[in-house]
Amino acid sequence: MNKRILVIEDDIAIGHLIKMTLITQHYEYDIVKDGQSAMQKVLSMKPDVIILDLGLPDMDGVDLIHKIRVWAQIPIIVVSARGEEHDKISALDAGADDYVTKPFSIEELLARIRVALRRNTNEHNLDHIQPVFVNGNLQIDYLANTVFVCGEEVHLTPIEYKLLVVLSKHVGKVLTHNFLLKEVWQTVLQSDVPSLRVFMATLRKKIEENPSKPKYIQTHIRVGYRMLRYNGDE
Amino acid sequence: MEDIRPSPEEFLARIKQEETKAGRLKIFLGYAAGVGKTYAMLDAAQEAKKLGLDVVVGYIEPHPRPETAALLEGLELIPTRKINYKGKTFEELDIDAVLERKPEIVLIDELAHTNVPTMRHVKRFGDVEELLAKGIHIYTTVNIQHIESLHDLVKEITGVKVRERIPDYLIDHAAQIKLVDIEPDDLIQRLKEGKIYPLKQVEKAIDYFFQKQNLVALREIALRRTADTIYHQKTRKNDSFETKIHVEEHVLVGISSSPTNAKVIRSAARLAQAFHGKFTALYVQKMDRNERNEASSERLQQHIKLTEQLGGHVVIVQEDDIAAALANYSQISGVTKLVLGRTSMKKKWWRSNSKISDQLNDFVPNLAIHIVPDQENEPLRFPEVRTQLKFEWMDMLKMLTVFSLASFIGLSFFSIGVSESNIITIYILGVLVLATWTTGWMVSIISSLVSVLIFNFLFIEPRFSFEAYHRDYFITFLIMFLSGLITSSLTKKVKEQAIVAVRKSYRMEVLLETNRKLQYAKTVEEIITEGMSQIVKLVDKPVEFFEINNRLIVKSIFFRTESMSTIENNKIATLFDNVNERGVVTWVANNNHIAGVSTDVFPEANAYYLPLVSGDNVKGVIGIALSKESPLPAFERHILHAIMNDFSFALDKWYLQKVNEEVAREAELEQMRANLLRAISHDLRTPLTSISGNADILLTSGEQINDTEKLQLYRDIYSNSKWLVQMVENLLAVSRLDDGKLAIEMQPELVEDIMQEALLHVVRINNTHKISFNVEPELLLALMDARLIIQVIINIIDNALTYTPTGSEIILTAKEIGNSVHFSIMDNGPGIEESLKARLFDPFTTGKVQRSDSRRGLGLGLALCQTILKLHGSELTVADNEPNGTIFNFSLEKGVVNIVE
Repeated sequence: MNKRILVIEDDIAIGHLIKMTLITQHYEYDIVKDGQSAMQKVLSMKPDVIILDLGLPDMDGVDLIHKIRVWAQIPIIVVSARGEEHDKISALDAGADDYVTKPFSIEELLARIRVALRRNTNEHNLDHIQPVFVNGNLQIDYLANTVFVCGEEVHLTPIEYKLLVVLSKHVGKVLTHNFLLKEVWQTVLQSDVPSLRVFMATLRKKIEENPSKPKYIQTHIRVGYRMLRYNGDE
Repeated sequence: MEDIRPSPEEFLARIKQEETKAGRLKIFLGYAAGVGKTYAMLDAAQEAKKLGLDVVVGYIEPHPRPETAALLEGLELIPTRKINYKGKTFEELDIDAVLERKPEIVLIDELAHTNVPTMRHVKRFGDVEELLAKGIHIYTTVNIQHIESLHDLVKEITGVKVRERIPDYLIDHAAQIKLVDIEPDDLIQRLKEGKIYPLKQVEKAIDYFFQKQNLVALREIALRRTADTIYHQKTRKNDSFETKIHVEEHVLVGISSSPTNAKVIRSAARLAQAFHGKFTALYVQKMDRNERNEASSERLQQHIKLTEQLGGHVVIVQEDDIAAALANYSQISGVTKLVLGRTSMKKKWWRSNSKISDQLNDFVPNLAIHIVPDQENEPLRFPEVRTQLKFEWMDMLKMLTVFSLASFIGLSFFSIGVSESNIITIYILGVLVLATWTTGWMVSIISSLVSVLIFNFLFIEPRFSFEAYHRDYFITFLIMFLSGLITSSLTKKVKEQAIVAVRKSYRMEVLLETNRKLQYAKTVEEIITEGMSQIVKLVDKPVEFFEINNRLIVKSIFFRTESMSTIENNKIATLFDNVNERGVVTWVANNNHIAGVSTDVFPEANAYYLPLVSGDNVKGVIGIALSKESPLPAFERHILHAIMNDFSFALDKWYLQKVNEEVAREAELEQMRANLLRAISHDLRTPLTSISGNADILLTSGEQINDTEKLQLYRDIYSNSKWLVQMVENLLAVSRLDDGKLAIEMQPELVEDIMQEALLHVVRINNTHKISFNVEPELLLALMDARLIIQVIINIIDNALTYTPTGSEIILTAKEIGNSVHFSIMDNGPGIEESLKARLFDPFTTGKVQRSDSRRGLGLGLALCQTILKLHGSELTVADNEPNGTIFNFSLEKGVVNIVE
């Protein structure tokens, strides 16, 4: 079955570019140019992935995400201008899964779409949460609270473990600093972000086979972190 | 007389002056109790309230009259302060409550009232002045007999001495004066009806104060004084026109410590007022001032204060001869009238014989001299004579030595045949030597006598007897005695003058030294230390400096004096720490006004406090540990103020310098930004031309071009647009520098993350070089704006990629060194020539390019890096790598993180 992708983009040229890209990959697609029509389309089309440009004319992109998230968990990839981290963070906090930065390359966009689709599939295939999480050489036993890399147990501090668990439960999704702080520490203080960075660094050192070329935990500067599905994704 | 209209600027200045934040004082003036001042004041207050102004009552004397009490209706009353003093409870104005309430207008009765001791100001008018300075308007009442300059006049008329007095400048500078007038007959009627005093006191009042002729005279004084004030205000405003043209009257009076001097001063003030002229008082400081007693010192200080209160200017000179001093000053300063007390005109028996008036006549023939009769009993001027009659045994011994020596020499000369007339000179010499060697006057007189006697005894026929045969010798003896006396007194004078000169020059030295030291001081701490040590030198007492920020004490530094022991110094240091003293310091900081010992504000404090002002702000308070018994003498006080001036100037200069540096820095950044923008925009055109041109060809003549060439065109479009993306990033970075600090978000970032991110962007662009990085220690954090520093690293790596051949290696390292993180990006390419190194960070600089697809204008990248790093308080430097290549270095502040578990 072909995957259906909804593109919400008001700029004609970029819309055309994305359309061409999707066609080459044999995705089914549809394009709408404003927020109102987008809502209707989501309901009627039930896409597998939504690509949303934040700079819509009639509605705030973040509002749209909120609206969609009320009743659907469809993966949303946000397109934003580079350097505007605030927009990205708001979108991710509102429920978006990933983002591409303008100007983006075709490969980037396609890779993001693949990740989003995988997430979708996985989640839909799960009836209940598995007790053991496996991702490449990484293994987490939620019940026993143990972590294995390449078959060997890794000792993590309680905070590191919690972080890893949160990342694994949202594999493929970019989690913002705020989100992580709230999940692990329950409070969100701007001054805690550097602290979070340090913890992530130590966690990476422990579970990554090659820390300078991280496989599992991807850093998004000034935005957050993401756990990658080990399948050769970038 | 020409009517010169003030220019528009002057008008504006005048309006501005009237609109200044100072409160305005409205005085309700009366010539006796019961004329209705308080009634008038309350009436005016009710009017003001109707107009919507915020009027409160600060203090009203309890009034028996019901009509007056009725007017209090509806006015907000600020509760008075109840103070316990010596077993009795007093009700006083609560100035702090008024300050907190901050009304527009406050009513304060009885301006001349003296506050209970332990209150902040000695007199109520001190409270009034403080409130006015804070912008609160005041209505107050005062009787004519309380005005300082009129005190003597009123006393003569009514026989009543008034102790509570207010300085004239308050009246003259009041915004409004309302004279509350009533016919004396009506006033007496009111008195008889018991409306002023209780009926049983009425009889006594009528007999004393309320006699009709008294009231008439008082009324006249009140009317005239009010008219004078109005004239004063008018002339003050019209300063620029009239007064320059006609001769101004200048009244001079001499200040002394004599008890009669106060009356003379007041008369002089009134004279100056009557002629609307300048009023100056001259204090002639004698050289032997240390020998004056305490009571006269205090009287002198009071007289100086009195003069200032009457609006006069005090000048201090040091000279022995009062008449000469007066004459000199009169001549130099254009004095037109000199006022002297009758007693000071009396001839002094040991001075020159001419009358003072004659002396003055010679010097300043145009001077009119007014003599004020002062009949009070004056204690004979014994103290001076007494000290001069002091007799010391040391002096006797010295005299003995000198005359023994003189006699010895004399006898030797005699034996070789020198005549008596020459031997006399030896003794005169002896008298001279003695005068220089000893300190008392008496010794000089005695020595003159003794020299004559010895000479007579030893050398005059008959020798070895006190007789003299020759009649002429009597004349010789007389003349010898006189010459001895004259030379000794002259020598004494010279000696004293020398001492005074030394003292004067020492003080001047201190002043000059202060000026010099403060000029050379580089930092604020140095300025304060130098200034304070000079003050300690001047006053010879321990001093404490309180640093003030935002009207609060931030820090305090104690400066000891070498003339006191450590224990004494420490004792005083603890005194300064006292909470009450700190309270005074805070008050001084808030009100920019002197306080403490010997002032009218907080006279009970342990020190004398002055504010140090720089650029309209109180930057510090200086406390000098004086005591009531040893206040600061007038001359020192003047020098102290001069030092304070220098102090303020030095501080002003330092602050201005800092401001200048800041402004220069911002201008520099702005220049850099402008340059960068220009350069970048200029450079956008080339790739744009390529992109649009290629697309154009493909569109119009695409079919004519073969596939290989088409591919090249496509590639060019792609690579140029990629390059454009980088350029745009740089542009964005520059625009973020727009607000300088504001747009930068500094956070502790993981160096490793930053490097990886930067490399991500670079690796996508090329595969021709080997790039690696290394961070030590692993979890290293640095304080930075992530986006900007990533841009810096990208630009530097891009630069390395451009200027090194394919296959070269690029290594990034970050190391923790002390409190910083040192970044280096090194390559093993051909390196950069020396001449190019200097210009490397200028925009537009490009060197020889190694890559085939040459990138023009990448010199911009480095210029931008420099700007970004400057904003981080850092700098990009370049050095040579061994054996070949280039290293770029910069450092950032280490990031500190509180690990939250």
